[in-house]
Amino acid sequence: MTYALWPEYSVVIGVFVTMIAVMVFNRRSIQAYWVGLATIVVSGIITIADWSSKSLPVALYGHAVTVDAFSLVVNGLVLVAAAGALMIGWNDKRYGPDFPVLVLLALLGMMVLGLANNFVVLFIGIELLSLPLYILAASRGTGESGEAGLKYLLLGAFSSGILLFGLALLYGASGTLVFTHLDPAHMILPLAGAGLALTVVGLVFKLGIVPFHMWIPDVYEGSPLPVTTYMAFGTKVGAAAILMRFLFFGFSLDAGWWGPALGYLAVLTMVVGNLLALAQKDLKRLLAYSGIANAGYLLVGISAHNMFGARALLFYLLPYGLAVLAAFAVIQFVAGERDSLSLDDLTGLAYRSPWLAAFLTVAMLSLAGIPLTGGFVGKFYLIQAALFANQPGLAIGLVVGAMVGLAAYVRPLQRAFSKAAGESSEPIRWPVAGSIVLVVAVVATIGLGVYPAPVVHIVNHSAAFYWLH
Amino acid sequence: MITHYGALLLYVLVAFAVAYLVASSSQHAGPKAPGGLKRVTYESGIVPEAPVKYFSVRFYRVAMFFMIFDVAVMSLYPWATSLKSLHQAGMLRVLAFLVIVAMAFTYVWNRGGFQWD
Repeated sequence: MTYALWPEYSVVIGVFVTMIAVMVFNRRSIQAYWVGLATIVVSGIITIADWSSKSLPVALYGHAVTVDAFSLVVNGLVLVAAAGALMIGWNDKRYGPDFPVLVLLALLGMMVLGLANNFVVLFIGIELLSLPLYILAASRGTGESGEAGLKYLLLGAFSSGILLFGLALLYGASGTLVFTHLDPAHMILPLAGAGLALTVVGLVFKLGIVPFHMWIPDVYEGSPLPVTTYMAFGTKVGAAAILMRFLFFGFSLDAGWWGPALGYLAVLTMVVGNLLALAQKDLKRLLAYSGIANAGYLLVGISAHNMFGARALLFYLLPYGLAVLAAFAVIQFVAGERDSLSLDDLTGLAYRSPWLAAFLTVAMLSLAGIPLTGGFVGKFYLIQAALFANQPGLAIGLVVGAMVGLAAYVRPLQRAFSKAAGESSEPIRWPVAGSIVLVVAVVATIGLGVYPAPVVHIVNHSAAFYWLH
Repeated sequence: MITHYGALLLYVLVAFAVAYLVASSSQHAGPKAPGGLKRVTYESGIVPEAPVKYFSVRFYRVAMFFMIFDVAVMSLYPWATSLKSLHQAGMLRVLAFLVIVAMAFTYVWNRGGFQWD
């Protein structure tokens, strides 16, 4: 009896219990949130237990899913993302009673993406991740939220179509659905090339790489704040994980097919994302462009195509996600009843609430990659991976992008630490659950920057195993 | 000599012929009652009018739920035909599947998904 898939099963059971909690208790009550959080905790405990299990790695259902150190690390990351999103939106009546159920369902999709080793499972994971997020994006009803949901739905359906077409072509060219059984040497070439290109386009659409990034700022701006947090962290983890497993397992020997293309896209994404972040006036849009730029950093780890790249990508996801959680928690606190926050609204934050300003500083500096924060260590590993892969262009692109990004991230801090024009403003409320997320994220960000060794050990194990598979 | 592919071609031709015959027979032989709602492009129960500010999605919601549960129930058919060779394990898996479908149905019902107003 193997417990390999129990992190996922426990989330399935948790979804049911959460649904029952929504139905049984008063619809807008807090029980469903507690059940959702308990599900995440239980799933996390099982993931940790699996980590030390001797029976892994294991391929199940005819190699359709693979539970290994890589999938467990992805599990851990998306569980953190889901817990953060759930707690930032804790018992918030504005998002409707379905909020915890949908968060758990999207979590299940992200977990499936971590262990998919088969085209069908890949597509199910992508849809399971996307469908709840379409609804979550529109969960504030009409207005900007509805617009964001509709845009996300239309463009997401479009990208799913491209992805599905690519997968169909690959299946036609190779005759197998399993990544590890793909043998590019014996494929029908034009079909395989077109299939690979379309599949990669469909996946980087979800990741938000530059030619396919148009939907991200609008959707992030219009969606409710916890949902934006979830999309910025969880979706990127899932999409990066499946892109890496698909390319590394399926087309490892034919890196020439995709490596250079992804490298150019990575450099383009890093530079364009950070440049556009400079011009933003809305804080959510700024973080959306920051998310695009960070997707470019993640792509560096994939196109480096070595063990260092895999390790750097897995490591970088954690400080990036923690900084996103902290930044959005601060925005949620300052925005209060409103749904978005312009840069000017931050003016005088350091005098209204010194702690919030300090926490925002840590988050922004980590995103910019300043030493003593986790973001610095992550970028360090990414540059190391690019140099080990003999691709100095990638490293230069990353550094240039990070330099432009620094200017973008310092702008909100400059507002926060300048004096307000004298108008008195209402005091800032600190919701308990959101404060826990904020403090944990900030402490972990600094912890990762000062003492990254435990996490490095974990991702080393994960990436090394992954590479030698 | 008719090869396998020739048989396939014959099948395609017959399929097209039958489809054409059926489609055209209703046009030629059926009674005609033009006018009213029959003249609108999509017979979805809603009269299209412009400009539309608020648009009722009630019909589409019901149609969508019907589609979802219809597909779910339809996937029972291949299971039922091969039940003998699936034994107890197949029975239990379909029971789990049915629990999931029933749970989703209950949730939609409870949250008011089937209410017309």
